[in-house]
This record gives sequence, C-alpha cells and structure tokens, in this order.
Amino acid sequence: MTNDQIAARLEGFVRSHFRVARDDPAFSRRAHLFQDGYVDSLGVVELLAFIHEQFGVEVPDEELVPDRFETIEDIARVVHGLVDGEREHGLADAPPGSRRRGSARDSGLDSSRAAG
Amino acid sequence: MFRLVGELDPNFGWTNGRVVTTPPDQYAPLASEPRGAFACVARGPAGVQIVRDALGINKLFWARRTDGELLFAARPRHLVEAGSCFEEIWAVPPATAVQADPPGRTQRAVAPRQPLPVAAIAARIRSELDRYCAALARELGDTPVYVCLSGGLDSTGIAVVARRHLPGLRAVSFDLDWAGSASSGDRLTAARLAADLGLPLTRITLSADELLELLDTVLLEGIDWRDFNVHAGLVNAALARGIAQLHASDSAAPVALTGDIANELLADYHAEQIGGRTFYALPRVPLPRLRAALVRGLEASHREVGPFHAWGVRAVQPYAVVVDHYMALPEAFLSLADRKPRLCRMVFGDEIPAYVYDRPKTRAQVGGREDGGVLGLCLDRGIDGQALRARFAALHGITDPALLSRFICGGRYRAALPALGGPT
Repeated sequence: MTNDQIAARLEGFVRSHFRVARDDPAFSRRAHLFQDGYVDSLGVVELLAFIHEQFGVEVPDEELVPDRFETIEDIARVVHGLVDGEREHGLADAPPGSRRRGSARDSGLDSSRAAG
Repeated sequence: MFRLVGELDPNFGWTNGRVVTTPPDQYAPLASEPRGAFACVARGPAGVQIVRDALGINKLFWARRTDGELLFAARPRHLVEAGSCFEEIWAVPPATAVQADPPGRTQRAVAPRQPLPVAAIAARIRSELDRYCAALARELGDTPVYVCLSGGLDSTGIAVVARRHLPGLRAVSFDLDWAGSASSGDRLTAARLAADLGLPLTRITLSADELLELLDTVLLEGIDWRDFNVHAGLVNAALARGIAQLHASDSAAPVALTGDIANELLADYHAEQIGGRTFYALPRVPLPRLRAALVRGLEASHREVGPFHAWGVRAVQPYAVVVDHYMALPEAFLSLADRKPRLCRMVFGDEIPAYVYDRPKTRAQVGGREDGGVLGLCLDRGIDGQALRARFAALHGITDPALLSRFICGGRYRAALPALGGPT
C-alpha cells in the first residue's frame, strides 16, 4: 500500500468520523488536525483504533508527538513506515496482538529524539 | 549538567516488595522499573539517573535554556517561571529508567505478564495491596494517614485494606454546599461507611465560592485543563486544604490514600448527562482499547498528587502498584457489565458492606447529586471546557490556547528524553 493510499483512507475516516464539512476550505491533508480542532483528545483514541483496524499496526508513543503526528500526511507517513516495518519482519499476517511494537525507547537513551 | 527547578513530588514507588520514598533529587538504587508513584533526576554512580514510574503518576518535565542549561521540574509552571517558553517544555516519558554516562547506556526492566484465571489475579491484587499498605505503615510511622471516602467501591476497597495495617487511619469526605443542597449521596454513604469500619470521619464541606477559589491552583498543579480532570482535581484540592488545616503545625506531611486509578484499570467510566447535554464523553472504541487509552492517559494529568501536594499533603494511590495484575485480566472479563463489583467481591469480599456494592456508580465530581455537583457548579458559573482551556493557557503565559493540543496529544504529554551532554 502506498503512502497516498494510506492518506486517502485516513482522510476519508477523518472527514466522516469527525464530520468535517465538505466545503471546509481550511481542511486538507496538510491541515493541523489537533491544533486546528478537527480531532480532539477523544478523537485521537478513535483515530488510533481505526489505524489498528485498517492497517494492523499500533502507533508507538514515540510517534505521537506533534512534529510527527499532526497532519494526515504525517500520519500516513508514520503508518506507512510501520506497515513496511511489519513486512520486513515477516509479521504482516500475524494476529495484531502478536506484532512487534516499534519503540525507540526500548533501544535506550536516544539523544536523537531530544529537542534540547 | 542539569538543574532542578521547584520542588518535585514525593515518591511512593513500589519495587520488589519495597516502598521507595527516596527523595526525587537523590539517586535511588532500583532493581526494576518502579510501580506506584516515582520520579527522580539525580547523579548516581553510573551517571545521571532519570526515572519515571510505569504509569507516569509522578510528573517530570524538562526544557533546555538558550544557554544550553537543562532544567527539570515537576510542573511546567516552574519551567516557565525559570524563563522557558511553554512550547519548549517536554515530559520525560513514563516507564523511563535510565542511567547514562555517557548518554546512550540504558537500564530498563519491565515485569512480564502471565495469563492467569481471574480469581488468581484477584488474589494477587489483594496480596499486593496488603503488602503495600503494610510497607506504608512501616514507612510512615506516626504520620497522620487519611483515606478519601467517596462511598464507592474503589475508595472503600482501599479503606478496608488500609485499616488492617494502619491503626490510626482516619477517613475524610468531601461535599459541596451549593444553593442550600442537602448532603450528597457520597457524603451520606461515606459517613455510614466510616462508622461501620470504625474510622473517625473528617467532613470537609466547601461553599461554591470557596471551591472555585481553588481553580487556578488545580489548573497549575493538576497540569491539565480538561473538565473531567479539573473537576476531580477540585474535589482533591478541597480535601487537601481541609486536611492541611488540621495539621498546620505537624512536622510530617500528612498522607491521603485515594481510590483513584481503579476506574481506568477496568474502563469503568460513563458519560454524564446534565441539562440534556453530555459531559465526560468517552472515545467510541472497543472496551479493551478504551481501557488501554484510559490507562495510558493517566500520564497526562496530575489531578490527584498535584492538588494534594499544593497543600503539603502526600497523596498515595495504592491501585497504581497493582496495575500489572489488572492489565492481565482477560478481555472476556473486561466485557462484563458487572466487572467492577465482581472483581471487588473477589478482592475484598464482604469486608465491603453490601450497601456499597448495591450503590449505583457515581463520580466524585458529581457525588450522586441531581444538580451535578462540581460539574454542575462549574457549568452554572460559565466555567466550561473552553474557559478552562483559556485559563490554563493564560496561567502558563500561552497566548494561543490552540497550542495546548500539541502539549497533550493522544492522551500523553509531549514526551522525549533530553540529551544529557552539554555544559556541566
């Protein structure tokens, strides 16, 4: 599945589930979903559930930071990377509960993630 | 290399059957990642130690100044007051246990989970709660200890376990004196329960204005603007203030045991209806996922420890030490409508009186009141979700409240570990 295909599914979900007006000129795949109020804190949980259901991956905490998980394009990129990671590890057909959860934190103190 | 700003929260960690109350600025030798409430930043034998408990109960934030100095604090407000910009504040991720010198080495341990029957899990919950309360009793000595009684199953469970180990245990109950209303269902049940359990009860009743005076403190110390957590924080602040007034001249800070967290562990929440409107809505996801989200979200609020700490009272949430057992409950059990009373019967049995089991589920913020309790009061005064958000932003010097959506995202504070290099 391509990045664009993932983004299309995410966009469809966000538009329908969070009732984005069809003619909303500010909404696009680059809109800031959380900062601009399209998705609230409850909605994030629903969005993560949709991603799990549709793409079979869990988004690790490390990806849930504003700079990586803000727009539909961002999220599609994250999901694409996770799906690719699952394939590389040969777990694409395993039950969701058995899948590897990518976690930068598990690998130790990662100064590359630091903002300081 | 780093500097602590302001006071950190007191530690009540739990690891290998031991209560760990090491001050948060001192190195703590830990055999495993702590449960309970624990956070620290300290220089240790292997370098800088940064720890935050599994659930993120105790808070730890950091920011780097423009001159490179790394600042840590338990409240974003302290970092803002030290000159940091709110947008540059990060949380240390929960379940962090690192020692680094040089940066990059990490020690981390996570307890394995084992599939067990529910009855066996219940037995483990009870056993660990007993051991924790016994250890607390040894640790606290003659320190005054209160149990916050709402009349619900969770706080009653803590009361029946704690009273076995803490002979001087006292109970405390909150009520709101608003528009001449009668005592709430919570107060009436708490009073009956305290009498039945043989616990002296301190009744703390605040007027509407007295309660709302606590709002700014709750926003700052609770590190949250979302209504359900702010309203819970107001109840805790009222309890904390009342307890503190009774112990103003004591040398040791009093302790308050609460039944918080158990609702998250069983996804035992529901939305509230006030005036035809819905509040405290929950995500529309399957129950196991809802529970995971609620537990995960415990990190991004300080509604308990924060407000209590503001009045010098140390809040302890015993359910935080048994989280692994709760998380081991099978999904089939979670799907039962009566999972809470069913599990409580297995853990506490008839030590909890029947009238508590029979009582409809209520939230402390509502208190079983028809007028909506604290929630109803805030709405009546025009303090809705938007007002809370705006006030939180103003208190932290944020001009655009929309930026807050970047601070709490997906039920967690924006989190990262800082690079530990830099000026020493």
